[in-house]
Amino acid sequence: MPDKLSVDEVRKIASLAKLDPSDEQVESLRTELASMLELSSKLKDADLEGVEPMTSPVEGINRLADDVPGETFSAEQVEKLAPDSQDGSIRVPKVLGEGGA
Amino acid sequence: MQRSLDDITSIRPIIGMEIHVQLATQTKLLTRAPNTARPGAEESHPNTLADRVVLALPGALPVMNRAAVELSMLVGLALGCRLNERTIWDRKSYFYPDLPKAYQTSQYDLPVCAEGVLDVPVMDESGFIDLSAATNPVRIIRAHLEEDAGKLVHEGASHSLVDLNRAGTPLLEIVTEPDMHSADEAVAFGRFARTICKAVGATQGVMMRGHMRFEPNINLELTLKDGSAIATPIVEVKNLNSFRSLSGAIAYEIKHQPRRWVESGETHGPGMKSTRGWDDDKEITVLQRSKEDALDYRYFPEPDLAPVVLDQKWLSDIRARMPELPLAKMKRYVDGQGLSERDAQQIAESKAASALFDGARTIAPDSGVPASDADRHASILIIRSVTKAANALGKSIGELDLDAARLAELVKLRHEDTISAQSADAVVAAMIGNDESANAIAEHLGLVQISDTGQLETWCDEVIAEQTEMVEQIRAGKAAAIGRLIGEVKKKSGGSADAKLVKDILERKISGS
Repeated sequence: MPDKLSVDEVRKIASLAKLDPSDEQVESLRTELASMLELSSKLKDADLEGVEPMTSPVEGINRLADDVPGETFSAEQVEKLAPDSQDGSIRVPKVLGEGGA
Repeated sequence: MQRSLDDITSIRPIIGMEIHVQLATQTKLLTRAPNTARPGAEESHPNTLADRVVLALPGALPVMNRAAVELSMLVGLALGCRLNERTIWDRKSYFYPDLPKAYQTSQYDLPVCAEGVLDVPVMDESGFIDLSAATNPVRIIRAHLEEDAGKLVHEGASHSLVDLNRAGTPLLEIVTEPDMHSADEAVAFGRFARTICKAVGATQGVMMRGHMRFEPNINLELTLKDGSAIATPIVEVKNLNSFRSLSGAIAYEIKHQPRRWVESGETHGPGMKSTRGWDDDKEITVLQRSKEDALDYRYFPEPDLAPVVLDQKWLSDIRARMPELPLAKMKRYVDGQGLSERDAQQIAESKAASALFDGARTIAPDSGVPASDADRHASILIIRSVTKAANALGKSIGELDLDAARLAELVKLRHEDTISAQSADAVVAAMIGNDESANAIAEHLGLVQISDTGQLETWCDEVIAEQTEMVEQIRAGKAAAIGRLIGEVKKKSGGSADAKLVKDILERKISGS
């Protein structure tokens, strides 16, 4: 049986995903996340002597597109895809805090 | 320990900079929806520049824009950077509604442009370069390519509105070492970088449209009375989009960090960095987040994009596209064409103006204008008349329908004094969107100067006879009064007398009789 994650670790991970789990959920996530970590830690056992890091699973290099404009959705199509909209903009619940970029 | 401002004997600001440049490609970084920062782009209605990649619909896959990669390389070379032979893409994860994928495609450890050094000229507060002053070298750490996020408008208490037109705009982020030590040096770096990015065609550099955003990192080295030194925590000021706000934010931090240190005792160290925003109205910086709430971006290699490998052939193609850069051009105009530093810089910093200048001054000698006169008249015409005509139409010089051959016609008219310097403005304005020769336009406008000396002599005699008092004053030594007499002659001619000739005739007549 793997060690459990601490409550703080689970809360931190949840906050990065903008989730607010209940105490009960945190408790079960402590074990579930720990067993996931244990599974991925098996990678550490692999013999990587002389293996180059794989920076991309995509075959080939320099797959670049010419800078020529293509199709876009109309504002109406975007509005249809959005749960809520207003004058062409997508309406979302009030955002607090800052983005990352 | 009790701290006080009196403990501080000297302050040395340490400033590094991040510059975000929106690249002026036709399409976005990872898909072919039109780019908001493309040349000539008008304001678009919300969410009309979005496709399945921008909206991150299931199954949508990105393809990297070749033009964005190549423009980044050009900027890197122009900034003195080394280009990485192999560059890859990474995902920077965060949840925010301006980013439908929940990660930003960016670059982590293998950016397009690696380390370099840029020699930044000294400028006054209007941005005029002093060629005689020693340059300030600023080390560039890297310049990486990433995508911009969408725009959010906060509407009332319950909702925000998302416009994804800007999402996916190619952004080149240039990061420097902390090599600047005053607001002036940081602004000079920003202005110089903007000029270079514009010259290589990477951006239109319109600050009001957000084509460039500046983020300085500022802290201070404080020397204390007891001889010890401490450093204040680093403050990063986000999203400055004018040189005025860049200068203001740095000056504010230099002024207020000593007080913050006195109050909190906090010094530079791990976890002490904070992020602030700039309030343009109040002219203060405002705390946005401290390092404790820093986001964990969980960078990892982007599996959907292939690496870019730069070979010698591609590199030499890119190098061949490098234009003469504005500083070199400015020096050439000063040394070779005898322009003042100001005039040289004003022309050199505009691609369109320098193309007009170099074209007209090369063509005009074919019609008998001596080269030095061609240089002088072409530069004056561009700086005064052409600039005025562009401003009046709300266009840039490049958007005017005026080529170098037509400007050369005007250079000839000025050289021969067929039109006066004052009339040149009206002739240039009339030449826009009109195929007639400059000479024909000047004639239609009645701006060809009368240089028939017989007619001019007659008018001069009349004026001398009418204005006896003025003539006496001139004879008594009040030489400046001749201007009034010239004005009288011009009045008689309906404005078209050649002022230079009139002056010569009047002086000869007054002193000789």
